[in-house]
Amino acid sequence: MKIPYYPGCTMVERAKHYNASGLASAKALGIELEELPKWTCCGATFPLTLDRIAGLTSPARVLVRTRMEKAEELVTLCPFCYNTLKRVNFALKNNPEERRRINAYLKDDFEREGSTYENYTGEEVKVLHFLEVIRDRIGFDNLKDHIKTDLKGLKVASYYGCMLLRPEKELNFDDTDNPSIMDELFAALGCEIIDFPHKVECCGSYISLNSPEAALQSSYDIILSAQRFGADAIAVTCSLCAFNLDERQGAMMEKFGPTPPMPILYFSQLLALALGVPQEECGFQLHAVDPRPLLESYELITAEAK
Amino acid sequence: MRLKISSECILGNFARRVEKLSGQRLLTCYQCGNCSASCPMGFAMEVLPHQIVRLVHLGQVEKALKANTIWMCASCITCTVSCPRGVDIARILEAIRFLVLKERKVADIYGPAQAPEEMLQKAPLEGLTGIFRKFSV
Repeated sequence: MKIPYYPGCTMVERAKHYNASGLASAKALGIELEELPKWTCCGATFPLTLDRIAGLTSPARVLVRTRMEKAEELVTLCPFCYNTLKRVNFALKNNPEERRRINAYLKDDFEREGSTYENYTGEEVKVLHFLEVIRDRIGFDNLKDHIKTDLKGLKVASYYGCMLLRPEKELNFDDTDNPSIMDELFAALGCEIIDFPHKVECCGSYISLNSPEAALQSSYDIILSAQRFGADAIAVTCSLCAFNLDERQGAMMEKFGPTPPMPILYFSQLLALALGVPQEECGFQLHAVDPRPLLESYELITAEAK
Repeated sequence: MRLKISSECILGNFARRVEKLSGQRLLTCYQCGNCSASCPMGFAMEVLPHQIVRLVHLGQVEKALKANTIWMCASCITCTVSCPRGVDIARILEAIRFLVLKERKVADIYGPAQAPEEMLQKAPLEGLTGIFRKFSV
């Protein structure tokens, strides 16, 4: 199964371990994620005002590029990319005026580089998150055929955040209030599922840059909630959530007083571990809160040679 | 809060521009407060999202803009999905931000020069792009 893959900026820069563990998991599952040639920035945020055509053009260009590869699907790991690309598809499909203007602009753009351009209507390329590919193409029930290491009841709280879920009407990813896709995945991998009330609460997103104190509170609430419900670790899908929950945990301790450290892992790192990807390829050493003592205590990884 | 209201200021020029930019009808909001109750950043806001909508209804633009609300919004879309009237509040707040940024004479905008060095070094790029775009038009 070969599908074009759109990494996006963070995956090749600051979340390399997310990228590597995701790609390694895909390979172990027989899914060939092939990096989209000449991919460009998606713009990171979907423009919410109605007169910002430029903000739609950048993600639309990625989708047109995908179609030029004769592909009908595009896979992402980053929820910001997923959200932006999928919402742009929705906007193009439902707004004829925006569709006309963006196509006029892109036509010019692509013809200048020597490509023939066909109008893009928002329906030719389907945007998928890697989790959806596992659910719909492999099936969680069939994962057991691929599992090399059972995760031995590791208590995982799945934290979904915002960008994969909202707005539900446009993304149609999972239930907005009570999503279950990651929980089903981890149950299949042999984890104990920790359901906790903060799984869809915003972590503070990029507010951690301009109002760090406010975002710190939001992130701390999530960690505390997962802790109270007995989680060993929180699994995330988003590198901004990972930054706020993992990288900023030290600042939380300073502000709110010490609490036991809560390892924050990308879902793909646990998946890769279960699929038998060598532990050094999972990037467990790249976290602010070191998850290795936890994973060693469950005998999921061995202490690395110093 | 004491407000001075006249027929001229209700759904005035500013409100009409917000409606046009956001594609939302402001009077569809019946002030139930679900958006504010669900807002994860509400605790840090001086005026809650549903109150911002009401202030714009009533032409109290200065009060709406003086509050930190629009800058605390993380565009997480929780308000939008909790609105029983189908109002896309996140779009309303974005439209107000847009109008404020457009009017600014001095670019006292949050850009790379304002971000702490540690954040520039460590924050993921979608976070940096997100916040810089939120503070620019």
